[in-house]
Amino acid sequence: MWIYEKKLQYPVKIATPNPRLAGIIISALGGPDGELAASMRYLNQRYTMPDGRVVATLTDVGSEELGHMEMVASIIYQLTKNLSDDEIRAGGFDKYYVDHGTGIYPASASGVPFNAMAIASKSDALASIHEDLAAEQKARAMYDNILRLSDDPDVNDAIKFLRQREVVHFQRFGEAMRILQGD
Amino acid sequence: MNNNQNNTSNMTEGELFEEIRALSFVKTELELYLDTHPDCAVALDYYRQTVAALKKYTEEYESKYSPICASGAGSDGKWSWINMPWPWQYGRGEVNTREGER
Repeated sequence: MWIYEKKLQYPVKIATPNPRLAGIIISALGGPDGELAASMRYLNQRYTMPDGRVVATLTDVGSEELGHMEMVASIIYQLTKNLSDDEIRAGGFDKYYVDHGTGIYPASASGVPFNAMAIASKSDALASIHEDLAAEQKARAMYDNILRLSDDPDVNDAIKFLRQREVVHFQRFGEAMRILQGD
Repeated sequence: MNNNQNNTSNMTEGELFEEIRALSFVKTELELYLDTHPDCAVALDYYRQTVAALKKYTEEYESKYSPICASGAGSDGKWSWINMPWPWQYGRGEVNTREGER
């Protein structure tokens, strides 16, 4: 069971709409290393984990990732607020817009709808935790790429927070792996 | 966190909201840490203090302003859970109404 809190984990307040940037950051929601994949990966892997410490880690990290989905969706919402037709065309946002308008839809920046093949879940505990360690690194690298492509300080502030959380989650999953190995 | 934690009366709505956001983050971070370090007494003590402070601040915020969880709504006879703004509602054409919020 989950309880909704009416606040973002970290503030998202973007002063300047930028549909081009929204079309890139959509990958952080629905791309292969995005937050939807992250939350579904961990929350589905929990059930067959043999150690309570690892179940708790997957539960709590997976829940935090749901909050990160909300942060990324908020970034996209604010970047595409009240766009003019010219802004939609000039920003290259037209290919997304034709199917979804400015609605939030989990897809990669290249336009591939969210694909559950981006996640893995096995009852082999070590295989799953190795998957998770790689996933956190890939998400961190994705956020690095976004920071290279974005020059909006409001966006980058929130993206830097999300990037830092990937580093912390990687640390916790490393500890979870050592727990499973009996160290 | 604000150093003057016991005096919330002179905080604006936004400042109180940011205290809650900060305490919530500390709570999340400690939960993750305790999941893999369940025997760490220092972290456990910090966690209990954080939860107590978060409860106090949240109750004050919800009684003065608006619900953060649905269960915080209704004490004034109104279902204020439906009220704007929702957390993403900032940006062009929308106004941040909470003075002092980040």
